[in-house]
Amino acid sequence: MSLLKKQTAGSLMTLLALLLAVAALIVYNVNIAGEGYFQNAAVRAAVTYPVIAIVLLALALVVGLLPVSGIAAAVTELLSGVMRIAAPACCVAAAMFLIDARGEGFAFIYFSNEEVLQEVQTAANLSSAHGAIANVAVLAAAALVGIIAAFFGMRKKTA
Amino acid sequence: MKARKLSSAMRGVSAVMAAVCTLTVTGAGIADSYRSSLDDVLGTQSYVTSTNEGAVKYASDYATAADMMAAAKDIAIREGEEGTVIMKNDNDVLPLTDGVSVALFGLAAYAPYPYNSGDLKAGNDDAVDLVQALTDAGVSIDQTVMEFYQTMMNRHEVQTENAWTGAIETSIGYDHIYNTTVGDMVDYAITEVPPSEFEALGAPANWQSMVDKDNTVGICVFARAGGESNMYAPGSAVNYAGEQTGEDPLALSEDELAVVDAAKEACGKVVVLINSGNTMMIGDIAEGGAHEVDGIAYIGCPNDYQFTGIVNVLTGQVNATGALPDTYVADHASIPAVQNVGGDYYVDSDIVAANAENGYDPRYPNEEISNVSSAGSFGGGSATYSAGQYIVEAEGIYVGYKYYETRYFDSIANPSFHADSAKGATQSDAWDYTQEVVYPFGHTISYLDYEQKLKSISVDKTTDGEITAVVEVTNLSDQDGRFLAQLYVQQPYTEYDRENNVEKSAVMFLNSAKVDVAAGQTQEVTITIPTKYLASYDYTNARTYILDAGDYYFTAAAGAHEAVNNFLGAQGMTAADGMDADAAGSALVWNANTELDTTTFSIDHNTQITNVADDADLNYWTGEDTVTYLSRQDWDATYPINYNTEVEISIGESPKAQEWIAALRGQQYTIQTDNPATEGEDHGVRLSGEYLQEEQLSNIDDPYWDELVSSITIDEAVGAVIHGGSQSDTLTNVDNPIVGQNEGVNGFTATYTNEETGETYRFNINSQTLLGSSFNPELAYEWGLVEGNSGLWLERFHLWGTGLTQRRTPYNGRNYEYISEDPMLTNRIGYGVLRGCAEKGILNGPKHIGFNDQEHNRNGVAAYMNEQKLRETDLRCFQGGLEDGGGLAVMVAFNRIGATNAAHYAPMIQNILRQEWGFTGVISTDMMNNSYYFTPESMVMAGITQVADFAGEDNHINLGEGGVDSTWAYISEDSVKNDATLVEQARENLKYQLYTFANSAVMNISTEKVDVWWDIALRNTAYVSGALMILTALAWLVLAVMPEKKKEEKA
Repeated sequence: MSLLKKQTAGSLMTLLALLLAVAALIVYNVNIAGEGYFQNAAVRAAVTYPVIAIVLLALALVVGLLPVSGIAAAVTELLSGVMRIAAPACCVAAAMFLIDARGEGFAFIYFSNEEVLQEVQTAANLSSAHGAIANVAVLAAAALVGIIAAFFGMRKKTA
Repeated sequence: MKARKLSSAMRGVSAVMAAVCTLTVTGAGIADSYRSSLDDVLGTQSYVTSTNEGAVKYASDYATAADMMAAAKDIAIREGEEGTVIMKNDNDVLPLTDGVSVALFGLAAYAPYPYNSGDLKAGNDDAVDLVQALTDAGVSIDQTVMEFYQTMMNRHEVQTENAWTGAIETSIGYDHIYNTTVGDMVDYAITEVPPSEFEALGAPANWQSMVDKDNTVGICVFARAGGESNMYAPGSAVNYAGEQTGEDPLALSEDELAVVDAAKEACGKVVVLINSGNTMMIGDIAEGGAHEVDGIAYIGCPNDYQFTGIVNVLTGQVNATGALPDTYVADHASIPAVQNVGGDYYVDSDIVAANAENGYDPRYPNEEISNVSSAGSFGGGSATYSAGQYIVEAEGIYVGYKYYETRYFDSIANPSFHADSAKGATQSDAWDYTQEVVYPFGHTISYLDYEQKLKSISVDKTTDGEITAVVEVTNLSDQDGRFLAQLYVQQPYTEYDRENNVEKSAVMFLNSAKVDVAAGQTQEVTITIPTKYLASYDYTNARTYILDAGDYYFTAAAGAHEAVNNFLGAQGMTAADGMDADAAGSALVWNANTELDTTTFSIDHNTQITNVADDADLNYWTGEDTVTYLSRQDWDATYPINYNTEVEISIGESPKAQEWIAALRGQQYTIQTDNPATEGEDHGVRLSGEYLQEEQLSNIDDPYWDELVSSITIDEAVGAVIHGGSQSDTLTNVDNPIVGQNEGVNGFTATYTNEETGETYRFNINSQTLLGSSFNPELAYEWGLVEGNSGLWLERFHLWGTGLTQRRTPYNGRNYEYISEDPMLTNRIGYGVLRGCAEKGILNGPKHIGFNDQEHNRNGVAAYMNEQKLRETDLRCFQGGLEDGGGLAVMVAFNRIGATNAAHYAPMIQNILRQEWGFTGVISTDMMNNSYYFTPESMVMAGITQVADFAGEDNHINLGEGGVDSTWAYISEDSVKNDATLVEQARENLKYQLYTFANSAVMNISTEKVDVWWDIALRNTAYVSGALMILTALAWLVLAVMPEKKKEEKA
């Protein structure tokens, strides 16, 4: 509890962004493992970029919370800041590459001719599409929270 | 404190800008991929065209768009006039006489199929439906019945929001309407409202007595819909009450028959109009049926204006000249092809899957790839080899009338052939033509009495020779009128044929023509057809086309059955011999071919024709006579069994198991590693008028073309072939125009707007079904010309604009896009349409060559057959347009031919289309929606010019992660640069594409890509956000490293 009290809005939101990025990875893996249109349809960028974002956010948290002072504090703040600037961009990149990869599939599932909709919009395909949309949404949320987090410091101001 | 806050703010803003910059940079790439779709949605125009005034080779025949539209309308009306088929006409019910009223029954009477605009219906504001056309013609419509139906159906607008743009889109809906969604082999609800429900739904209790029975003809209209990826399932009917009936969905339901009975009670006479592209089972209303009506007419699937023509026939303004493009039978279960429809799995289909047990695919090391058939035939589902299911087209050439009429002929003339066997009989224990067939192919009833007689026949027995028939048409009536002449032939069925399994239909449609004849006069009409179509393919012995020695009987007749009776009559037989009628006409004999000829038609375009498709035969793979193909020499022993349920087909037990698995996995070609390709270099030649003289335009073998394509880089050559679909690619050293592709089986679906008047026109007003039943290749040619003209007005030059797949069974959901069960009728209609378009420089690509004759599991089902069937059925449907008519494009089937994806099937594409037919046009795949089913190297080597995957116009094979292809990771510049064969074939394929463009109206214009507003917005946003990101990051850095005190001071 005391550890939580020591955290700033910045560090908590960074942690939340990290958790969302992890959630995005989980959703991605569930999506491509599940039955439906996107089964086995791997998108490397949808893994690589979130992993980078997770690493950056984790390092940002660790580095940002190191009990250092002086130049070391400045250096860690710079490192932490750079990582917190880059991490949301990674999440955005992942979301965009995912949209790019899934665009044709979405078009099939949602915008096929009326006469084939019944066939295309199977429960499995719709579930798969919903999973992909959720994946994009979670990545977007991770990016958004990460961006907001970047507006806040990681350390509590000391007296 | 403030500095600290400012520092955090700068960091935050920098994060925002970094995200925005990433968003816009990646977004620009995505937007470019979907450029044409975005243009459509956002109303932008990324490609601006300008007319090359000096280079206009193809000009419109019309001064204004209004003139052009008037010409198109005229053809549409004539399609209605010439395509309406009077199938039954008793008690002088037709034509409708002056003063008679009509009462319209059936949901389709007030909403004929199709009623919503789309691929089949243009949706012009002045479109005419049946009610409007009858009203325009001055025919009185019973108001009681009409008001009931119209109130009960409640036509209303349905507004839906476009999910992309948010724009409100309007379509037509009804409270009660027939089922327009067939589905893929699922239950089909026939929702016709039975009369027992009329009162409950608002009809007056005494509605029948309110109809002036003596002066009213009841017209019942019944529809069956169609749809892409849709297929009717035999026995799947569901009635109005929602109960499964076990009946055929293409049979008239009890509810529909109840409507017929109610109409018969209310009206003096009753006519039923068949509103469908799928052949229906209508024995109940035909002669002797329990619900027999006075008249039956086929009206196909009319577009915007055909009803004016249809009503002109119903009212007798024009003579009825349409003929049935399909055979109508009592029970579809009697159709040999129906014994093998739909398909199912091999017993060990899992053996094809790539996994540790079976072995991995070397292109996808350690990747597990399943072999289940994709969930739906339209695609979707996981990528798999989709090679699990198959059908055997064991009926051979005996599709439609070729089966029924040949078996009838043999039942009279060749008793030893066991035509009277119980096999295939559905109406009694012994097969009987008169019970099985309701209306034969080519059946037509003319209002005006006439006679057609073959006056002379000449056969030029040379490779490029023609058969010329002169038919005398005598108008025996007292009115001027138009008449249909149909030419049929019977080839000799010889001992040689029987020994070598060469099948011959007892009657073959060759061609037809229409002629105007004054009352009481006789007019000659000349019908020609290439002699090559007289030859048969012998796949077992001569392994080429042969022309048997013997008597070739020719006749002019009102349908295939009348023709076969004429042949029997000419051979000395009468009704006393078992014929159902004496011959109505005569036949002429050509017997100049006194010896078996295995050479004359074994050459085409200087190519020796021989077997190329042995592997399309399932027996090739099993190594034994697993399949017995239907042969007329023993109807009993060879009538098809179901090769999915009655035998077990095992891939693993095949002596060619490994070869079979490789074929099913799409490994038709293996990329080589020891034959370096030459990189493309700029040779200074371009695809432009400066370099294109007649010698280049008329000869694809001119050295210019090889020099041109040798300048294409390896990356672009392969990339441009294996990605495409929406438009062609820009090629760096070629400067070729970008050619957009358009869909529209009935014409370009785009809207033309007259900028001055604001008037809009939609030119896609053809009806494939009525064009087929018109039996008029000249009308098809006129439509082709108008369709080509419309492309010039719209400045759209490439259209997937007609369907020529054979209607193998009545159940295919896309039969409404196709012409007929008969290869030669389809061949001649295709010849007309494609020749017309080609003359206007428009690429009109027919769909889908290569046995795409069922929609169920179309993306992977294997269609096995012998080579005679391969050459004489579906491919012959396309041959007229592509070889004889100079067609400029074609789309390949989705399914497999044998074990091989049709788009990989070099025997069809390279050997037959390119070499034998001399076809130089564009060859596209259907939708590439499964990267394991479509294999890029196999498609390149098969000769595909462009794979349809909706890619952009600048494709490469290094756009994926790690510099590999974005779809197939094993394809990259590194992986193909050491395979000169592959790269040169890709260039060769592009040569055909460029040659076609050079000979098309594409060269009328110049195309330039321009930046549209969203290009500029995305680019500027990227620049601005990038700059701001740097600036704010610098500001944050400065503030962050500044000593705390100084920061405070500064703040």
